[in-house]
Amino acid sequence: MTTLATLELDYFRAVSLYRRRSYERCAELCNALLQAGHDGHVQLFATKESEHSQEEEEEKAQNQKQKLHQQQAEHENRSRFGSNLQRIGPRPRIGAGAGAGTGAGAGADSGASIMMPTWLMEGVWQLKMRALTQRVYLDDLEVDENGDEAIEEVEFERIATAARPGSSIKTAFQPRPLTSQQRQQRSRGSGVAHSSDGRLNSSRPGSAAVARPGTSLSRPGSSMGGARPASRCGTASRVRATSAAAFNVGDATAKLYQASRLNPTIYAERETLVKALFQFLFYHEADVQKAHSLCQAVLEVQRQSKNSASWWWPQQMGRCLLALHYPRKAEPFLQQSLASFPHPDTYLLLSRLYQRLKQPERALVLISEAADQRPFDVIYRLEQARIHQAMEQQEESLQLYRLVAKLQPINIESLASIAVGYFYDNNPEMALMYYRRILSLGAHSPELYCNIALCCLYGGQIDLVLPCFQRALATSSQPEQRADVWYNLSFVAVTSGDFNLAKRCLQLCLTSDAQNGAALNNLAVLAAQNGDILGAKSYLNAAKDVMPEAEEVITNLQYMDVHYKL
Amino acid sequence: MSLFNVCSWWSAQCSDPGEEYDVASLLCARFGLEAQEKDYIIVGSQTGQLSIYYPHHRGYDATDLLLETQMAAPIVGLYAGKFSGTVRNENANQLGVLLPNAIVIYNVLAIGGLAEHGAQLRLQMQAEHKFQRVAFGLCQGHFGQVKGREFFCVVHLDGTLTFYEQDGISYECRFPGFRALPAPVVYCERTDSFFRFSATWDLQCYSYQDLSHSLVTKSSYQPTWTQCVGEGIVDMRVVQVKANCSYIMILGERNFISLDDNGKFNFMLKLDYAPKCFISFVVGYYWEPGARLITAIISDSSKLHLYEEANLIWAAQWPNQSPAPVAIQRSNVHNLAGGIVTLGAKGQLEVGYLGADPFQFQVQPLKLEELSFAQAHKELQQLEDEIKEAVDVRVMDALNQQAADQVRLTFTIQSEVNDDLDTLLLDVPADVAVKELPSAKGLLRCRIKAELAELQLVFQTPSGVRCSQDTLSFVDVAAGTSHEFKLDFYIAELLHIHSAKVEVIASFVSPRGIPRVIQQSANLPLSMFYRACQPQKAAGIKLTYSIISRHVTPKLATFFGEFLEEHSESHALGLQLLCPGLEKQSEGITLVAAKNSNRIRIQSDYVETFAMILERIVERTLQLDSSAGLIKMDKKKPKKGVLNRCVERLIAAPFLPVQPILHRIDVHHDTQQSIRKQTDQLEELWQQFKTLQRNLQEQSEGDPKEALTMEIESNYDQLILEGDKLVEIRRDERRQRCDLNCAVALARWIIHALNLEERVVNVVNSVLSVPIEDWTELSWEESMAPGIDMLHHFGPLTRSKSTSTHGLLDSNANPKESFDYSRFRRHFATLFDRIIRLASSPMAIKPDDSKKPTGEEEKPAAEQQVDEIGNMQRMLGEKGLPLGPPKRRSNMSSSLEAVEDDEEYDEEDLREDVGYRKEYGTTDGTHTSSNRKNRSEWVNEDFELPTTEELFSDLGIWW
Repeated sequence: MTTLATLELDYFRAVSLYRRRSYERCAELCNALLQAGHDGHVQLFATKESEHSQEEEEEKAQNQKQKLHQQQAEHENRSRFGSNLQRIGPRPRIGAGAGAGTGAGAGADSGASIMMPTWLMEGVWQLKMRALTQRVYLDDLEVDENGDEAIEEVEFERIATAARPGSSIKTAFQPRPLTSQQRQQRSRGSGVAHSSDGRLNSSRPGSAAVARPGTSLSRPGSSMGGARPASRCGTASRVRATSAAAFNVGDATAKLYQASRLNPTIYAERETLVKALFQFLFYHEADVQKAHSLCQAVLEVQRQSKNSASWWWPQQMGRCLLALHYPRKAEPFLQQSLASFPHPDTYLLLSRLYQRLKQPERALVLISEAADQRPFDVIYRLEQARIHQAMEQQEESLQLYRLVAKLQPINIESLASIAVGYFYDNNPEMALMYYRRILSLGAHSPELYCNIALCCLYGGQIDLVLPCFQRALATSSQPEQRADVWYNLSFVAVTSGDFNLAKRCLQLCLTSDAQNGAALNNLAVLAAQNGDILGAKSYLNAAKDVMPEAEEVITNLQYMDVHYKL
Repeated sequence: MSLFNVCSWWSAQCSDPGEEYDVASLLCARFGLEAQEKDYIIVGSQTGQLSIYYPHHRGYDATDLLLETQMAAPIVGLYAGKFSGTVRNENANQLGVLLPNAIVIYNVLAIGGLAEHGAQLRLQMQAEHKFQRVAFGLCQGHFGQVKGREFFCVVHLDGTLTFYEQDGISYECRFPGFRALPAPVVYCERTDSFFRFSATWDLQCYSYQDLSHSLVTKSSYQPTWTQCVGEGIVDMRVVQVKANCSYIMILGERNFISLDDNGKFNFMLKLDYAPKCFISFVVGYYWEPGARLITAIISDSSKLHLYEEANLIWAAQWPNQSPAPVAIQRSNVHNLAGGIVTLGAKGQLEVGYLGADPFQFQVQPLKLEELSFAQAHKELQQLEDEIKEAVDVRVMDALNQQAADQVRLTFTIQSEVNDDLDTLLLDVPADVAVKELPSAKGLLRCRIKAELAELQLVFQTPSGVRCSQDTLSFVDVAAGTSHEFKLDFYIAELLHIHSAKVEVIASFVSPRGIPRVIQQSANLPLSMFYRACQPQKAAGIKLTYSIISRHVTPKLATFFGEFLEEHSESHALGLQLLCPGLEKQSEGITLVAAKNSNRIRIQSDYVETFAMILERIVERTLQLDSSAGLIKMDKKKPKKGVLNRCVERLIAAPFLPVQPILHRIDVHHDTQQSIRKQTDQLEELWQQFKTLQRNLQEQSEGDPKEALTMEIESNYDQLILEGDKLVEIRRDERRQRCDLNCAVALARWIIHALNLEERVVNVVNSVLSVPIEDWTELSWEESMAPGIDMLHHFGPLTRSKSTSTHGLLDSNANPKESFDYSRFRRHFATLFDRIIRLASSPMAIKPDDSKKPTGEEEKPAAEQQVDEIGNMQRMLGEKGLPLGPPKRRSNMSSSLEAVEDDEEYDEEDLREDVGYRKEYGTTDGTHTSSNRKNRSEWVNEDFELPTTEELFSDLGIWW
């Protein structure tokens, strides 16, 4: 027989698990509790919040009455909640039992022991919701933007580095240092990219290889293996949603968390829950639409009750609108939030917003404002650097990255960006130094090894190239990572003139990731070199299907069209 | 990270190795037992194990453990303070152990160790306060700024507080507002107030006065101030940094926040890691200048970050701490001042210091053994297999075989027909339903052997026939599942159907993204489409097949089991189409098997009746023959000069009903034209309509509108009328397309069994593919034109000698602009004509086919015709039936005569059809061999333009 005390103790254990970030186990424990409550027909949220507080008042009064009772007649049991102190712990406690188990308590015990109080049920419900949210939480400021950009402007190198939105852990940590820089490099004449451009006039092979350094190391804590809790492997919303769904399979209490059945206006008035609920919708369910309507409902309630608006809801509103691609609508909300409180997230959201509106200067002004207030906060410096980079101002951006590295020597994003800068500057040895620094920070990822290997390759330290790639292969777990490693290995083969090996490598890249356009393109070049014009053509067409806007593929196709009548 | 590192100084494993520890399980405190006392480390687990350690020197020693005891209940928290007023020693602290339903205050007593046993501690219970609600935590302090005593209050799970101020006196109270998830409550001595994290994620400050006042008067009270934190918190502490200021340090789930005790935000630092626990402390004394506020935060990946205020000053990776500790304390233990004490979730207790032991990230060494050849070969083979499996498309047969293994399809159609079709359920149109046409039942079994990401099954039926299932899609199919589908095939439209073949196409994508397609086909019973009737003696079109295969008995019963019994000796069979295009006339076809020879004659007046019958004859013959297994009909690349292998099984008389086929094309073309015309007209009317509407809008208010409205109405009516007409024409077009399908299929099946070079058959048949397709922009004729043109100019059927045909190709590349129907028709007719001529030419005749007449190109057909007719006459004559005159003869020759060619060659060329192939065959051979030699050269060296010859040899097209 379960008693209130054991239930409460379980609740305590759940809270304790939550505090030490064992979200999975916390959710499991919550499930058991919810199941128990469900069996006991405890009504969740049956009362309105106002009544709720009334009820609490009553309860309080009752408690106080009881306290009086207690003071008058000690050890008398409560009328409402049964107490059975004998059963609290894992083992019976004689001392306490002697105190509580006297005569009068026995009758009340058996009656009330199974009943779970509503507040407990609600607490467990909320705790589970928070645990589920935290389990999959990833900073949307790091994630969303990548997905968006991949969709919005289908940047070539981004796709070439296998950044399909929501595909793998890498997506979340997409190579900031890569964008645009690469393009510049390409136009600067493919110094590094001399490899197999040859015949077909394609700059693709070289640049794609070079695109690799810095991959995925850019973000702090990224790809550091355990930098983020291992449980949070889901990244973008799609993966997140599936992982969440999978977690709910076989969970009888899952129906308590069905977002689709949620009515925002009902919950908008429950101040205690609604923030947690919002985060649950936004981060766990990845249902931005629903989260947005919840925001709207809450703001509406606040407007009606003339509550002084805090910064929180406008910020979330802006977040939702930004995620829904309404940057202009989001702006006033974020500005309003910023006016009442200078939260770092608000700054970053606004900066993102301006960038999306193609007003990077404005974003820069805003961020430098924040940076002036907190000159040592690397978050703003990093954001500045990223904006400069997006504006293709390499010098400024590198300057800022150097500053960040000075302020926070463990900031991997800045180190990786500087390394990439050196790499493109035909200085692979310096890049190698930075990468080794990152390695010594404990980062230990296939991408890093891959980058080191490439630096070694172009820096002439041939003996280290293959071992590094071997490590990269050994540590890669995702198919996309394997694809990348094989893709880069093909460059080693090309550099050493072994086209057959290169072809194999590219084919292996395709076995792991059949949608790798860069590999398809390079296979086409190799095929053409072998005289297989038709094969080359079909590879190019496949590449074009995968990456319809890739310059190289288009150039190559045009070259084919001009020079071969087919 | 840096030169410095967290070095382990002392470590111990607490007695309970389970995951039973959290942030409140660790306490570093002094109890005032001796003069030079340092910190004791007290650990209590949630199973009730309480241990007290007193590290003496580097490394754990058994004497460091001073006390180990088992509590009766889980230990929720450990606290030290001056909880009792009855102790004389001013420095003495008591140990408060928080259990779920009680707080027990112990005096700690030391027992001096004898000899080398070391000292021990003993707990003496001083007070026990019980409460009913389960506790979550405890908040202690000099409430009300009382000196010398510390009060405490227990925070319960349900949010109530129980205050214990004097021994044995307690109050219960609640913070106003809603119940929140349990969170720590802290007390700030400077302002004598409590900080509480509310349900709305605000930090609220309550003064002790209000609280205690409310305890007495039961009055309500409000927080002194409220600040929105906006996220869940991990932990919270109060640190006094200056004499006039305390800071509230909050470790949020995403940010590190600091407020001063007046509720002003000090800073908010966004963390780029997941924080787990933290400690804030002041280096120096707060009443002196130069005190530094230091915070140590441990991230979830076991990294220690040290901040001064909000600036990172130091960071280090914990070498062997994973997962990250759940609690951290800074403590002065014996021989080590300012040690960092951490407790892991499983009770790993460690005291560390920031030492100059550079943390070298140790990369696990790769096990690089000397590779043996066998090993390397195996690995290489594995990789090769991977390639082969996924991307190598050179060995299609193996791939298809593998795909067929992954998804096994068994598709059968019963040969009996049923009449019990539920026409309502299947939504059969009324005009078809009343005819009560028979339907067939099929069964598809699908066993999936490998895991698939997606699987789609599509049923491809000839137009007019419908399947009860259209498309089936599955997602994430597990290996080992199997499905079974019962299918109904029925006629849904009254059209001429060109084939009885139904195909199932299964396309699937493996979890790795590799797509595969497999297909299976089965034939519908002919009794779905025909019914037996009286054989007819005379007919417009007569075709003859000779069955040469020894494994096929040339009897009608072999082929038409639906209509004849197995051993029926019947030699003539009349069949009638069940669903003709027109109601009035019945379209019949008659099949006659020769009694003494191996020939079958098929005759009918209607082109549409043939397709399915011919399909049945040819396919059944090939199937019976290959099941007898003598000649494999495998897919070898056709070589030049090889005869159509089909001919070894059966051979068709070289005759094509050219005129009827062309007639169908004409009709189809006319309809296409009228559709275009009709669309143009509609467009025009629509423009008019729009103009009128615009006029109506532009008209000023006062003007009468009647005239315009009427005009619009009439225009609209006309528009509707013409639209209906278009619909009507489209319906016609559909019918004609099906007729044309039948006609083209007829030609295909004849050519399939013609005595020609195999490649010719393949090429021509691939050009004449059925079902034909009309696109909105391009009619079938237009899309066919380049193909026919190609055959005309370059195919094996041409004999033009000019090879500089490149320009021609290009000019033909855009058929839309230069589409000339008469030219197309002429080419089409010539094509058929040439095929017939080739097929009946002496060169193609097999030696054993003595029955085939030889002679001049015009003659054989005629002779054969006569011969056939003679046979027929005999056959029918025996039955005593009169023989009709051979109608088509004149027609056929006239079709040949009608052929004229314009530019490239003259009639002369047409006639010498023996010579050309030889000639081309040889040149072709040299081409390929030379190509093979210098193939890579020409690409590699100078990127010369390949000649058209080379290109075509690549394309597999020859001339």
